[in-house]
Amino acid sequence: MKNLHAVIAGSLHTGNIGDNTPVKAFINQQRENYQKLTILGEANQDLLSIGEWIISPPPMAIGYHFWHGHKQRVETRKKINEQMPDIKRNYIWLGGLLGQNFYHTKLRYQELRWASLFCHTLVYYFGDVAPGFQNPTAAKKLINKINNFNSWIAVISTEAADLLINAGLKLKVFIGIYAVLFDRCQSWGLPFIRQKKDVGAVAIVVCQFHSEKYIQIWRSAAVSAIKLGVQIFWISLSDSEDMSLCQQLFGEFYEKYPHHPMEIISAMNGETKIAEASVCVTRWFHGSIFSITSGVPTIAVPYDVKVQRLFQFLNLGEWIADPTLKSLNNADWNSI
Amino acid sequence: MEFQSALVGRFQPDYSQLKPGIKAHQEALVDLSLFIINISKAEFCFIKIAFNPRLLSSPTLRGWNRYTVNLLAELSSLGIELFLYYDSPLHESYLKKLLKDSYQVRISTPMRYILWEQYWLLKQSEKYQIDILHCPMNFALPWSSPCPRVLTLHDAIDQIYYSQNIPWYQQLNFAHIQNKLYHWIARHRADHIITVSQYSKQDITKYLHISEDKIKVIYEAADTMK
Repeated sequence: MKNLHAVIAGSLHTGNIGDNTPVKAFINQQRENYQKLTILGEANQDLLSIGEWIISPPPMAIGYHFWHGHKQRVETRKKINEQMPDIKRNYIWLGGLLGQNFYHTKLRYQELRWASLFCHTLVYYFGDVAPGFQNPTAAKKLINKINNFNSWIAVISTEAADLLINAGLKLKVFIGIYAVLFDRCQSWGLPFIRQKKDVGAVAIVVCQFHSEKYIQIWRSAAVSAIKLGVQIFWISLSDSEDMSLCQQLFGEFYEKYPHHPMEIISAMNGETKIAEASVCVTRWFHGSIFSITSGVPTIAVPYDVKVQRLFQFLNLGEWIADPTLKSLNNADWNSI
Repeated sequence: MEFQSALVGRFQPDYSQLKPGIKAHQEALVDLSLFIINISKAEFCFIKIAFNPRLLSSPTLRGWNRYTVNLLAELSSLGIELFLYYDSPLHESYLKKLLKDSYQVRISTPMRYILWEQYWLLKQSEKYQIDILHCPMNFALPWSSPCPRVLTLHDAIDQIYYSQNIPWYQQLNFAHIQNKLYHWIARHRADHIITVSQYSKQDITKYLHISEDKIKVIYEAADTMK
């Protein structure tokens, strides 16, 4: 164990089980390198089960409101400093970079500026970079900041590495695979086989964000499940965001088919239930990871480029259900 | 279509790209381990800043004290190592506002002020390998030092207004001349000057003949400390 302190950050404030998984993967792979770990996230049951110190991430200031959250940032910094004084500290970044949403890029820039005040190095741990980032100024500032930091960068695809280099990154970029996928390959081996007994169910992992685009897919999947006579698991991987949609769809189908077996599954049991399903229809990227690695046939919705990259990487291109494609629009899902 | 195929076992991931991916990932992790070993061996020198906090010996909180103590508190929270040099003890109420173990107070033995400023301060900067010597109150910087000197020159009011009204016989007073000399040394020998407004910067440039390039305006913020 080295005399080092790691501060782990990602999108860990929403209680999304999927976003917590890279943290667990990082800890499995890197725990021995650090004396202490601090996770910047919401202290939910899932993160608490890891057994490391958790602290709420402070709000970042965007735009002219530069004072917004200043006090919390100073306090969080002090808490982290006090936790492990006089020790070298790594800032571990998980998740995406240079997203299409420019607020995301600006947030990441502000976060890195803040982190540079108390961390010696940045480790960008096998993240992904989406093309088409809309705000070149924010992206440039972020890349400059990374260049000036003592950083180690690894991404999960050559496309992501190229995007970073084209955006001005001057550091060496390593290319690996997604940390969660690697972790499961190491633990479970290849090929991915069923981890749990098939209970004869369709797992439908819903997502509230832009649900209007994808709701037809979930409805069609549920109708197909009813026709095939298998039960339905309405799964939420982020209770604060998706549980209401689960309840809405459950209610909708319960009215029409009151005798068909259906369950609403909360985030804590989401991964287990996905592993027990006969087939999984998911929008969340981590839902795909959970089901593929558990040996469950998976139909994914390509809401983000990372889903497409993952499915192409595993040569599963035909298992992507894109609602924007004409052929799928014309397809009669209900007849399946 | 997809459902039927899935249920009859047509879902077959192709691992041909995954296997080299795992190998590349393992190589990257080896490099990360080396990176971490290098970090643990590397000497990350946090900046050492020495201050002349002579105003902090009085418990009365006035403008310059407030500026000094807030600046020190912020710097200490950034992980900067602070050295506070003076010839008498600093008041506890100010030191409480700084993070524990983030500063060292060095008190000199009694000596003449000119010696303290021009000799003792210089020797201490050498001894502790100080990176920056900062005086936050218009004067009290040595003629030379092994590190860059920074002066906060709040304004030029003394020189522009009050000096004009002093009678000639007082202007010849030794203490007055000495005081003017200390101020002159501080502002002309400082490598960098911080001032608090554009107006002050104009005054300093116009009346004290300091190069504009040397002056940086950093506005004062509201005091959030209680």
